[in-house]
Amino acid sequence: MRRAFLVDSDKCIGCRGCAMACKSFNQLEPEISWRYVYPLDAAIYPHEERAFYSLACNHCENPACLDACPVGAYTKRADGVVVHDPKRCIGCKNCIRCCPYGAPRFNEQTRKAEKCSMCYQRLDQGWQPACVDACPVSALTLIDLDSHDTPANAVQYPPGFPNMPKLNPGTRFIPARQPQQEGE
Amino acid sequence: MADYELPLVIFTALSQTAVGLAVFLTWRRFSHDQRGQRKAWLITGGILALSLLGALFHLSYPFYAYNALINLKHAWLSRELIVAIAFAITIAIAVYTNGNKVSTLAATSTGVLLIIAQGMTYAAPAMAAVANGLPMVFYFLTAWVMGAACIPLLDKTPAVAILRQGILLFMLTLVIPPLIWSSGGAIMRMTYLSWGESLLFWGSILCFILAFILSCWRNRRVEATAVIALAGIVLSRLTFFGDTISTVINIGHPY
Repeated sequence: MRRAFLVDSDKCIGCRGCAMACKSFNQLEPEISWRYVYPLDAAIYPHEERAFYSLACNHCENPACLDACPVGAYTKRADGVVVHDPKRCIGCKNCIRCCPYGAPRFNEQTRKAEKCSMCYQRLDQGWQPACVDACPVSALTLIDLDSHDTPANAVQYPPGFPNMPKLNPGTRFIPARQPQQEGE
Repeated sequence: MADYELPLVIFTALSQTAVGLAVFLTWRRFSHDQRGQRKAWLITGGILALSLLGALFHLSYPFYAYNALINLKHAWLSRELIVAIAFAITIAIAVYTNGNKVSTLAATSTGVLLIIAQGMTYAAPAMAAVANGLPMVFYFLTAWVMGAACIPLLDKTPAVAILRQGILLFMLTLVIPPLIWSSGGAIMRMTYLSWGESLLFWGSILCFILAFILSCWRNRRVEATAVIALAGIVLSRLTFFGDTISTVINIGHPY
């Protein structure tokens, strides 16, 4: 099993409810977010603030954070979820410098890195992650990359998302349909 | 505002200076120079100790720095630390043996390994423009320039030609990669612009030009040349850590 987020940009309305639910469930400091909603540039989607990527940790197959952390604060569970242990972190920020997706963030209060854990505590109870539960339009779902439940139109590297084949990020995207003129 | 990682700048610049000195001292020893080297190795060890002290300031919890040895299996940072410790030990042996051939060779070997480990550590995947062999090239050139600039301070024997070659190569390595980035992807182009607009970058080039000119003067000022070369190295390292663009800042935009 390899759990991953499926981001449906065609459904996402950019409400940032996922980011708020993440913040609320994980009781994050006001200035810290583990999930960000990125609006797409007009070169990718022609209408401003109309298409988005909701991104947190991509729980890569070969995580840069895990390879960068000298104290072994990052571990990978059998279900593919990459978990950070704050007790081990010494605040060297090497994971933050290495992750191409900006998943680990530096908490100025604890002076340690922290990141999305895919709410593994909730997963272990048979629940969905807080962000998935909170999405009002079901634009954010959880998939198993080892099964065949990934939609046929899902892509790994849409425009506006760093292409890192060595890391093999888990997140998959359904791109937003381009708007059409009447008669097209 | 960019994070210029001053403790890392101090750590890398000074530890590579120590490696450069180790290489030159070893070279001298194998060139039938039989003078005692205890003081020179002691100073080299002092520079390395200063660099390691600087590295501690980078950590939020410096008293737990020893934990950084845990992840040798995956992390180049752990390997960097263990090689730095090995380098310190071999320098101590070189001090004890007054720089005999075996100990100097061991110190140089671990020093070279330290630069390789540093090159791998700071080639972060997120920094697309430098996620390659470039950091290692910069670090070897730092050892070259600083070794050649500082060795006359230790044994009164100049290494002017080698210093000039090192400075020229360093300047070329500072200028050519950004020109290549200018025709690369979005992050590379952004890094090219960021470095090009950086006063630190141009300051480092200016320092290297000054160091080169000083090395050509008849009444050479060895101390001034070494200080200006170190300033050039520090400014270029600040550019490296602070002005290199991460892929993170462009998410949602074309790459």
